[in-house]
Parts: sequence; C-alpha cells; structure tokens
Amino acid sequence: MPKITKNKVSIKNSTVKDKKDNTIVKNQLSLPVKSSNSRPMIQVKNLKKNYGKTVAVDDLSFDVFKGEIFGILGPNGAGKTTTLEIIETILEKTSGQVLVDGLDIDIYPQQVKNIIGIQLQTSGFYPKLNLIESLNLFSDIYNVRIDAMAILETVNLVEKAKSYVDSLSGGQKQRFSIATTLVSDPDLIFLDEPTTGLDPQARRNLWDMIKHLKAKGKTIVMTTHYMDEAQELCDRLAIMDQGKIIETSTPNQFIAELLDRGFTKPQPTLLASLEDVFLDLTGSHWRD
Amino acid sequence: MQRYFRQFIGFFITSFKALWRTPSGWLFGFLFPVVFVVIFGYISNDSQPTIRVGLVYDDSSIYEPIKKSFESSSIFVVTEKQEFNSLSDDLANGDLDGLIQIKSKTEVILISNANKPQNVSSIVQVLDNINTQLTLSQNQVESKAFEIDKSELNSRQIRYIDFVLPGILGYSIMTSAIFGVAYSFLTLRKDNVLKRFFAGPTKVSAFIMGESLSRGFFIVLQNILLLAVAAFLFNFSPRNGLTGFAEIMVVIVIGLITFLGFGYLVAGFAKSDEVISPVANLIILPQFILAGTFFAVSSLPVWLQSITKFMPLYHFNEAIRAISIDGAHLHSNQVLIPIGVLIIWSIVVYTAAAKVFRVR
Repeated sequence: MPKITKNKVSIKNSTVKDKKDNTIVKNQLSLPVKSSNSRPMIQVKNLKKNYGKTVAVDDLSFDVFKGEIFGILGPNGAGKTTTLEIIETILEKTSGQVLVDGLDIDIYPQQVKNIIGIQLQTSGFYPKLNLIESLNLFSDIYNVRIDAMAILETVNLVEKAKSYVDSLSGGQKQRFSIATTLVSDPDLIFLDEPTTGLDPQARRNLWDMIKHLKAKGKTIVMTTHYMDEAQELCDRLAIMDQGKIIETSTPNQFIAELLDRGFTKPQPTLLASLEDVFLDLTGSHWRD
Repeated sequence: MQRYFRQFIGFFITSFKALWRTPSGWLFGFLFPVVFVVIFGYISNDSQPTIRVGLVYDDSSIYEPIKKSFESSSIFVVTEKQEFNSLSDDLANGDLDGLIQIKSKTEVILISNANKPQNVSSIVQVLDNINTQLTLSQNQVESKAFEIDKSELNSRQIRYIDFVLPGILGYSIMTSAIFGVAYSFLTLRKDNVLKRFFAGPTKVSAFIMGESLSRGFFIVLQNILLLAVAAFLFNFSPRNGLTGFAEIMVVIVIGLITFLGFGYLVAGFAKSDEVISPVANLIILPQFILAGTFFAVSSLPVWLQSITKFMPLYHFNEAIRAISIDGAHLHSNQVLIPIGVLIIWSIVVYTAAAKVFRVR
C-alpha cells in the first residue's frame, strides 16, 4: 500500500516536471526548432557524471532532433566526450535519464548500440588486419551485410583496401574510423572530433561526407574544436564548459545575440582567409 | 543465436588471421621449441653408468654365485623377482638391459636388450667368468658348467628426447598461452580496440570464446608441427602410436584451457606492458624449472617435490609422459588424476579471471 501512494506522488512530481519542461520548450520556440511534432532522436535529462569527487558532467539536459547535425563545442575537459560516451552506452552515468530514439539506455542498451554509429576520439583497430577484413569484422559484430569497397569508397580509401590499418597515416585512420561507423547504416551517428589532425583538403572533403550523410536523413551528433567547422555543418550547437551547457542555439542565432550585446571585432574581417589561400594553391582533392 | 554465432566466428577467424601473421607467435610457439627439441635430441644418454640385470631362477643351485658375481661390481644393478613375466615386461619397457633366467644347473638363458650391445657384452663377460670359475671348481675339463642360451629382444629405448619432449610441449603451451593472451588483451584494451568493439553490440562471451578458440587452435597446430618435427628427426613416437598421439592431443587441449585462463588472469591484473612480464614469469618460471620440464621431479628434494605437486605444469607433464612413455590410456588413473587437477585449476583460474576482467 505505501508503495502505491509513493508511486502516485512520483507521478505527480513528474507531471509538474513536464510542465516545467514545456515552459522551457516554449522559451526555446523563438529558435527554429525542427520537427517539433516528432519525438527527438536523443533526450537527455539531468545527466550527471562524477569521477569520485570531480564532476565531469553537471546536470545536463538537451534534445537532439531527427535529421539535424548537433554540435557540442567546448574547451578541453568541458565534458564533451564524457557526455557522448554516456549516450553511446560506453560509460555509466551517475544519474539522470537518456533516451535514444525513445529507448531508455539503462533498459535497452543493446538495442541502442544497434541503432547508433560511433566514431571514438581515440580508437585503435585489430592489428594485422587489412581494411576490408576489419570492416567485415564490424559487419559480423553488427550482423549486417556490407559492401566493404563501397564503404571505403565513401571515405576515399579504396587504394588502401589491402593495407593493414597500422600502416595508415593519421588522417587515413580518422577516415577509416568514420567508415566503421557506416557499417551498420545507423540513423544516429556520433562523431567525436572527426577532423582533428586532418589537412584542410581532408577536412573539407569530410565536411562534404558529413553533409551527404545528413542529406540521407541521418542524425549526427559531433564535437569539434574548429568554429568554422561548427558554423559550416551544425544546425544547432550546445556550448559546454565545466560540465555544463552554457547555451544551446543555432550558429547564426549565437552570432546575432553576440552582436546584439554590442560586440565588435577589433580587426576588420578579411574577405579571404589564409586557408582559402592554401586551398587555392594546393587544390581541394584528397591527399595522403 | 545466429547473431551470437556470427560474432563468435568473426572473432575466431579474425584472431586466427592476426596470429598467423604475427612473427613473434611463430618464434615463441614453434621455432624456440623446435630448437630445444633439436638440442636435446642430440644429447645422447647412451653412456649409462649402470647396467640393469634382472635375475630369476627355476633351479637355485648356481643362483647364489651368479648373483654375487654381478653384485660384486658396482656397474651392475640387480633386480630379483619370482615372476619371469614381470621381469620380461621390464626388459621390454627398457627398464632392464638384460634378463637372466637360470633354468637348471647346466642351462642359463640370457635375453638382452638389442639396443644396448655394450651393456650386453658386459653381462656376457660376467657370465663367462662365472662359468669358467664353476667349471674349474667342478674339475670339468672338456665341457662348461652351464650352457648360455642367448637371445635378444628389441626393447623400448627411452631416450632423453622421449623424456624431454613432453616437457618442451608443456613449456611452450604454457608460455604461448599466458604471454599470448596477456599481451594481446592488454594491447587491444590500451589501443581502445575493445572500447570500439563493446561500443557496438558485441557479446563479451562471443569475443572471449572466439579469441580463445583461435589461439588454442593456433597453439595446437604449432604443437602438431613440433611433434612432426620430433617424429621426423628423432623418430619420436608415443608408446601407442597414433592412439597415443590422439590422447596427447586431448591432454594438450585441457592444458591449454587451463593456461589460457592464467593468461586472462594476468591480462586482468596488468595495467601496463611492464607489469605483464614479471607477473607472467612469476607463474611460468617456477613451473618451468621445477615441474619436470628438463629433469624428473623425483630427483628433487622431497619438500620441493611436494610443492611441485600443486603446479598445473607438473600434472600436464605427468599426463603426457604417462601416455607417451608408459603407454597409459586416458581412462587410467595415471592420466585421469592429472587431468582432474588441471580441471580444478581451470575452475579456480577462470573464476578469478572473471572477477578482474576489464574491457577498458
């Protein structure tokens, strides 16, 4: 009997919470929120992660909508990777709730693992295997049929198909890492600093790849340290620091708000950047 | 289920390919043991200081003088038995160099080990001497006191290689299982390979089973090659031929399971490369030295012997030698008891390994 009353109380609490959430959503309605009628791809509620006494992620709540590219920005140690790895079911959270495509990751971790593609910031591959063998192993893990060459084609690694993963350059490894996320053709893809360490050509080509994935209807959550990348790719951004989201908005809205606060750049902006010069001189085709 | 099986097969094939392509696996698992086998195969133990003679009599009249003349020389070790059959078994097993049966006052039968001609001629020399003495004492001139009826038996010759090969098998299985599992697991964990696998829907047991089976398969393959090399170079063969070979394989598989478990245990404990070598050697070296790899445990002091009886390698070696040297079968206690001990070790080690196993 006392249990039932407790439940009632908790239900009441949750309804109160929902109302609060609604008001937050209403506040956010001024922003261009997509597909408000469909369920968000990811719902994160009051997520917390402590390592002993240090708080890595502090009471995070955010939604990622279907079909968008959602960027998480923040300095090193802000908690970006920790947040991603909790949603990816790699790390245990301390408290809070995470739903991926409506599935609670605590209750359905295996189902969640099946519908997501993961590119880890640092990830190695089974030694002494060539790229095709390595991709085939992932197809066994996800129990899917793949055309390994077609996947390598999308990351421009066809000519390395028979090379060992150990022999790839840093940029090639990064691309191969993204290739492994495509094996299960997931609806939700996590990219943790996908372009770190890449040359400008590879970076731009990866941007095209990511845009192509979005055009195919995939939802993408990514972290990056490059602001131009965030501006170019992301529909919405969450800016994190010290385990907290400071603000979530669209890139343009962020810039507009900053200008509204009276911000002016000390130097006039050049009409071209050094990167534009570099790309103009060296071309934009894949390297290494 | 289909999904689980596919993961298992995937890991099995992947891991086997990777093992096949890794030179150090061949170096430690095959080349070093072969070098051991070749070195010890050429160590000859023909220069045995003692000559073992078995005595049995139907007629006791000339028994005492014959026995005394053999015992007077320290070269000979005399075994007396009432049963002729028991002594002839010893001869066939290679435990005796010659068997002397005194049929009557005038008839002595010598059956000798055909593989030890020098030893046999020493025995014949002693018999001739005593014959001359008896002839003189009996004042017979024209005929000898007794006739020596000589025959030869192709008895089994236990060479050092026959003893040491099971030891080398055990050592190579233990080393490649423990070091192989520990290093590869630590590397996979450190390089975030496991993290990536388990970020996907990978079943831990499918992964462990696939890895273990491929490693086990690889080690068994290397040991078959090793046995083939020993058979080719030194004519090594288990007592019961192919049956014995198959029985040795069964024991190898059981030993492998035990030693792979030790590998997982070390991999679970070790947080870095530097830890693996000392921890693994702590398990390997005492067994390598004491548990009968190069010399029989019975030659150790008794207190040390009782310590070695706890070691899995000792029981592995016991079982293999029982099959290959004594011709024991799997269902005989000589093999069953060591196998039982190995299984108990497996249970202990895997329970402990499951507690310390980490993906990250």
